[in-house]
Amino acid sequence: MHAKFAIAASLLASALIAGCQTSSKLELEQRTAPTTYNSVTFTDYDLNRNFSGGIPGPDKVFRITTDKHGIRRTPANTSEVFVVLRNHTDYNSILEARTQFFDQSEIPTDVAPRWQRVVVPANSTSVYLEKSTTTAQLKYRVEVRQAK
Amino acid sequence: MNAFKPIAILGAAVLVSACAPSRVDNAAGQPSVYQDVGSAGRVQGVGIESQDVVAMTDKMMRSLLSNPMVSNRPTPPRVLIDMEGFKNESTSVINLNMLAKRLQIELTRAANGRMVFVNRQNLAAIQKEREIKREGLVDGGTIRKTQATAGVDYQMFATITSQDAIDRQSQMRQRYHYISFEMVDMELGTLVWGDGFEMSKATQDNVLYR
Repeated sequence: MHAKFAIAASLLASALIAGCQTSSKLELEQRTAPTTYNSVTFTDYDLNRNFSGGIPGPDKVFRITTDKHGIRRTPANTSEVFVVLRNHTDYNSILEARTQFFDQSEIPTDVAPRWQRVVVPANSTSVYLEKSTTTAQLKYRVEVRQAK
Repeated sequence: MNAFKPIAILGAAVLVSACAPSRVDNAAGQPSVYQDVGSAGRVQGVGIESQDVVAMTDKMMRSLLSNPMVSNRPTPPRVLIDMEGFKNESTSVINLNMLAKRLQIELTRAANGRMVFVNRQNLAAIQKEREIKREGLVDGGTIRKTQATAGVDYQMFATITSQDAIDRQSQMRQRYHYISFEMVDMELGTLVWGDGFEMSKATQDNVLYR
């Protein structure tokens, strides 16, 4: 009787632990992260995920990361954002990225952002570039997703 | 009593046929849906699609506005963009006017006075208005009078080219597109700006573009 009870209890406990692990995996830091400026965000969490602490502890899974990003002036005094994307997998990755520009008061400005394709070869890097149309000093927010 | 049997069977048959469902197809069907013009839609092939037109014209607009020879002159240059300067040498079906119009409208909105766009598509209507003003049929308007309509400093030319390949066994097809854009000085005949957009697509399904 005691042996049966112990088996049932251990089964229940392992099911509970598995359940907790699943819920912690679903709780993604990036989904609830506050909007930041002069930043790159992965809107496709299959590319880059931060898991908050659960029973297995904090974890990070990534296929694509950003090596470097920034903004500079063009000869016509408009702005150009650059993002160096790094592919950590053995497969070529076709991504899409877009940039929303903001003025110094953090109000969205410039033309509507549009998705542009970027191919990042396996275990290599590529640069995504996007130019603004205005000559004002700008902040940026780049979004990256997988191309369909 | 036996004579009553066939009548009962016939009556039942009539009742059953009356209760049979009608032939009207009352299924809800597949409703039409709006799609994001900047992302791939439900129907995808190897041709130039909405997301390609949006990405291409957006990239060219940004590239052109970052060129100081065109967008940073003390006197804004007069620019002509219309389908007369656009050529399709590819195997893809594309409305050249859509491409030219999207580029011109997006540039007009973004340039904000850094370029002046000349309209030649409505030249007949412009000439007619000028004539009736000068004949005194209508007054001179509120802006100004000029000797002639605007001459063009720069004109945009674009050429769409493609290369097709088909695997005979799997019927897999792929198409590489290269679309070149050039801004030409219409007095000197030199190139002041150039950029390109390229893409390669592969598919097994046959999609018909119109």
